[in-house]
Amino acid sequence: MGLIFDLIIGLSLAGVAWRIVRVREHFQAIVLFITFGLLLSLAWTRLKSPDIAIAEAAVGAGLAGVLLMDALGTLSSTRNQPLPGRFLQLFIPCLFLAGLMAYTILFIPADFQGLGPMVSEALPDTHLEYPVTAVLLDFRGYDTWLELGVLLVAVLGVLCVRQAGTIKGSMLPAPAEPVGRWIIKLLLPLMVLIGGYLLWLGAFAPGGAFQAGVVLASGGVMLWQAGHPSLALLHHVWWKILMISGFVFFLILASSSLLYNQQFMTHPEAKMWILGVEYAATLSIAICLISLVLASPARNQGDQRARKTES
Amino acid sequence: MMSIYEILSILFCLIGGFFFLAGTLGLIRFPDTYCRLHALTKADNLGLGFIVIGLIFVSGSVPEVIKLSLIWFLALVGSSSACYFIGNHIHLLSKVRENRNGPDI
Repeated sequence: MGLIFDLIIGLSLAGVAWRIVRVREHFQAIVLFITFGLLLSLAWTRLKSPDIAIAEAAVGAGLAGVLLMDALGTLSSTRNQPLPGRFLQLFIPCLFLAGLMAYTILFIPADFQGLGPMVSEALPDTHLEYPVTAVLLDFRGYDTWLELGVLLVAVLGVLCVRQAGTIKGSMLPAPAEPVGRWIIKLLLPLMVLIGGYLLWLGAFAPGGAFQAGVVLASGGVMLWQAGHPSLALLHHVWWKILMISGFVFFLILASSSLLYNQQFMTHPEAKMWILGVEYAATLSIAICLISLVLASPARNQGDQRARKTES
Repeated sequence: MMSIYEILSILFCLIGGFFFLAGTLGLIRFPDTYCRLHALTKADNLGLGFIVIGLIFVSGSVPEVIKLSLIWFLALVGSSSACYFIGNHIHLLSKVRENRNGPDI
């Protein structure tokens, strides 16, 4: 029964991916991409990786979909040509890669247990209860730190493209219809609650900084969509400080271990250190993602139009 | 031998699955956007509702029941609001189109 379900997920993943490449309309491609993200999170659930499943559903299907939809505003709605003659050029490298990956499976020994035993052996040293959080924020701290850096670089890139010093501009006008205001009143407190819950959960169960940050960011995106002025109330200096807080906090704590005459990124008070980094990272992930959505090209175009009508 | 809770759970999940199937069929077969929205929200609300009830029968603890109910509640709020937004957008679009084709303009 499980095998049939897995097969259905795998085949529909491949089918949806194929459709994304082949459809003519960008809108359809985006909707299919969101579907792909949801199917992928189902696949991760089947592989018993709830952390990645939550992150994939929130980032890959949710926020990436919003970003793509925003970007759609500036593009023409249909592709000029339905990708002519790319079939072999794409298909053969893909087949080659898939073959290589399948080949590597042959070299995994039959009694290989992965890195699980090593992680559970070292887990008591971190004073954490959940192995995934320990791996992300302690054993592989470099990767997480640089991921925060990647987000920061993405926002800086957007600023460069927009040729602006700050990300914030005028908020959208408030929606006239009552449903938009009502749904914000209802959902925003719940979103803050669930974001905090996911963050707190990260210490001993699936959850953590990225998932919580994305939930908070989607709350911010909803506020922006409704033209609520509360986002604009945050001063732009605070905006910048919060944006870099995760990266900087990580760096400060990592290099402060050098003062204790220890190696870079090792830390005596592991649990406090990790929780502090996680909370700062959540805030800066949320702010970075909101900034990316706020600075979307469609919005930029709207600003230019507004400037033209003003002049 | 299955307990009564497991039998009830399977029964409710099957009813939920039926509503999802009917909703999907409606989404594909109905002629215009309003009808499709109708089919889609029915599938979301009733189908998910029955599946949640089915899962509550086999859930282990009270927090689990609360979380499952919260999921249904959020899906209800989300799907009905999304339905309103899409319907409103289509309505406004059709109004714009009527004005464009009308004799006055």
